Amino acid sequence: MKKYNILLSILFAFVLNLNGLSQCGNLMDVCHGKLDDARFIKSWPIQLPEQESGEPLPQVSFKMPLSSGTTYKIFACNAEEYPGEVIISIRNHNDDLVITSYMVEQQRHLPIIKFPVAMSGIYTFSFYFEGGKEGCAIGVVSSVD
Amino acid sequence: MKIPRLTTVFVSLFFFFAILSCQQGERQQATDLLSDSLIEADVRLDDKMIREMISSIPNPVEMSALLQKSGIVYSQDLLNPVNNINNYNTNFKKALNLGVYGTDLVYMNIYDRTISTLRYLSNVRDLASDLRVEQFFDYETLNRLSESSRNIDSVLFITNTGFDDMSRYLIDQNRGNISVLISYGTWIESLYIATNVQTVPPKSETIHTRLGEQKKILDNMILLLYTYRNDPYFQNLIDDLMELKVIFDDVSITYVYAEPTIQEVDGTVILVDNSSSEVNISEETVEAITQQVSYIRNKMVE
Repeated sequence: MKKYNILLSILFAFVLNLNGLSQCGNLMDVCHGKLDDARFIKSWPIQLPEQESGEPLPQVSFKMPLSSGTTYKIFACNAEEYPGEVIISIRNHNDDLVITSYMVEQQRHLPIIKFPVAMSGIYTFSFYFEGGKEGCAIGVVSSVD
Repeated sequence: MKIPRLTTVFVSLFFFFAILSCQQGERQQATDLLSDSLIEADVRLDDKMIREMISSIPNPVEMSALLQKSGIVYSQDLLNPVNNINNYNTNFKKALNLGVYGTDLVYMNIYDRTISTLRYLSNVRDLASDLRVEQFFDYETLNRLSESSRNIDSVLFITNTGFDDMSRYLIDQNRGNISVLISYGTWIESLYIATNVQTVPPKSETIHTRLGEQKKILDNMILLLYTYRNDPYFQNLIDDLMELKVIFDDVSITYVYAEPTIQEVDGTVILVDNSSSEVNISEETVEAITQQVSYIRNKMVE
């Protein structure tokens, strides 16, 4: 565990540097424990402005192939200096909504999603911030054995 | 907005494949150096779509991890020899082989071949420098981390993130053609390794299924290249992939969608995927794909 904490400290520092997200604060502290023993596959920087009146909700989407037989661990880390809390939604190749990280009825965020994929395909990961607030985050896709 | 956009893509795919099929006999000899500035194209995807489609190309980490997890033996012979870098004198070749060496680097790291990675890392640095995108890789840190197999996850993370950021930068700089070539090299090298490793059933079945799933990726890759088809270098790549597409037409994939269900265990949500997909691919088709991929890849690295 200690090994992973050290490694993740290094690698998330690089992500912040490479993506120019240093202004979002120290996401490393927020995020490093979530990967745990999973194998990192992909990450995306997410920085969105506050929603303006009459304008659509700011969001950003990425596509990624997911393979059947693999269990994916999907999560995001918010920059604490920003008010927005990120929400992930995942759609399959038919644009069917598979899941979101926000339980509307319970009004709570899911910190981690484990997704054992049974249908291979290209999935769309969309990110936006609750209530259209300004926010900064990193979305991470990893796999677990 | 998303549905009409995707519909447009798929309709466009249908028509341009029909047109491409008619152009197979018109292959041109590539003689010019590829400009790394914007290539004029009369029909092209917009930058957002190029970015989305490039991100849909499979990450080499997953394929290499699958091979390793399946107990398949590492094979150095499959990798592009480091000295081949001396043959790459055009931006076209440099971009393709930046993707190739990057994939080889991931493959070696997954298999803990950390000593061997240094020269490949050097090649990635040199090619990236020639293409003026070296700022996305911190080689000193990667070199240091590569000295120990304990740092593999970090190396993978930095390498992968560097490639992603480089791709975004190139598209923003109107150099999407370079980004497409890097993705092409990455994908072909990954396919080449997957199709040429020594496997026996049942391990080979998993690999073959993963191979068959590339059918959709192939369509996306052709569409990406087609954006720059007025360049004879790109047209050659399209011709090669169209021959591969004919072989992939024998692969069938069926999807059955069912509503997912959700379970929560110790605060972690587990999404139970009730959908399924089935890939049907024959041994003969696998063999034909292997041959065509090897032909394309070997031409690319020579």
